Amino acid sequence: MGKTLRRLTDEKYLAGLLDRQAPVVEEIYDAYFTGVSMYVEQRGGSREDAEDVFQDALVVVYRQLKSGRLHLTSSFHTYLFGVAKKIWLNKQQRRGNQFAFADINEVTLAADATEIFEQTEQYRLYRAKFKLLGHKCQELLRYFLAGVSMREIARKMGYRSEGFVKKKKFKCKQKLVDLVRKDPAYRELK
Amino acid sequence: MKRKQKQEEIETYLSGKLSAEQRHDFEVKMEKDVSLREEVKLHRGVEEALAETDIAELEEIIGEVYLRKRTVVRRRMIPRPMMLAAGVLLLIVAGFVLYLFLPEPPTPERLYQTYLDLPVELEEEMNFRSAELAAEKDATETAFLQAYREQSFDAALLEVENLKRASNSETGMIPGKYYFFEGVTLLQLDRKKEALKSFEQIKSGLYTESGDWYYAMTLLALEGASEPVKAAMEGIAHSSHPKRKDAQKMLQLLFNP
Repeated sequence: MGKTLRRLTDEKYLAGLLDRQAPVVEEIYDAYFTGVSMYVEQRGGSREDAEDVFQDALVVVYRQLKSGRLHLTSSFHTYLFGVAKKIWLNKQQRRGNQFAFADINEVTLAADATEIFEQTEQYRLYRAKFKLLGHKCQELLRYFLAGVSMREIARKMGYRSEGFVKKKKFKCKQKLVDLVRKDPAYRELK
Repeated sequence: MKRKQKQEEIETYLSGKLSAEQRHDFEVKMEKDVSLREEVKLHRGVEEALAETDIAELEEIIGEVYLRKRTVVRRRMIPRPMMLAAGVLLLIVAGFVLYLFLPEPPTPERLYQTYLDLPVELEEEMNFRSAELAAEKDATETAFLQAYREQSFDAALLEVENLKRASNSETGMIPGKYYFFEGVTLLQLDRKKEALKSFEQIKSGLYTESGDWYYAMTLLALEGASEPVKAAMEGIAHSSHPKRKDAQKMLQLLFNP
């Protein structure tokens, strides 16, 4: 691919990712997932591991784009692959894989990248656990975290008192926190 | 400190509603107490994670791409004769290769597995109950909820039977809630046909919305992309149902790929 064409493609990918355009995300997947998958699977990971890594890499790039802190000095492909590689090596390092310690220094990225990786993995775990709650719990917690008052939540959800909403909110949140804590990935990420 | 009190204290701290003095005291307490510090970090993370709706949306988009791509048949070893003399044969081979690589729409079974979203715990609803029935019902209901929570679904099913029988003999009716309990427990046991019958019985009340969703999903698993499934999904997709987005996706994937 010529340099100009590659630059245009990279710009399209960056803009599309920032706007969360599904067709662009699919194009990025078609273009680059195989490379990431091969990298992960050749190092003992599964396809599911590769999917997690690729997803986290896209989210990391999205976060950096959103905050205006991403200034590409390489192609989008090189950068995305570098992020994915670092995420995988970070995971391996946490699991005590000695080879990862040596390899990880070969990948250089923005200074805040590691912090963003860890937050991305943690928050993905929290959202995944949230989806395991019942519909009513999810709805109630969404209202609560959006700052809707207990009285209003009771009205919207057809509960008879604020006291009940409070009790239910406590149980829902506790359930969520317990689900997160029980996941081995949480202990790895702590 | 009790869990509830601790949680409330953490939430008040995170909401910024503590006075400067209270805030300072809490932070001193955190410095001394590692578990409190860890708990605050977790609560803060959860709140921030759930507020990131844009990232949740992006993750959902990526998840959908994965779902579509996983269904692509990946057969790499396509027989290629060394000498293809006839053009007709070439076309057949090309057609065959194209067929192998064409993405297949997700199967109803896969969609059922992916989107069903069965609750891990059923919580007690504060329905109005007459005082004389309350004590006995509460005990059985608690036994059911506990069995369900512990994933002892056979035991949970027996408890639902007791609940239904007691309610029927005392009031002459069975509330939708018990049919809902029965339906989700049967789904946990993969007894879909019976579960469908339970969900059909939910006519009104707090469990109607959730019951509609599980009814539509169970029907999907049993019948595939049928007209009744389409009608059930459309009912959800065109309402304010919390699962409307999933229903819209389902309609798109099954009936308008």
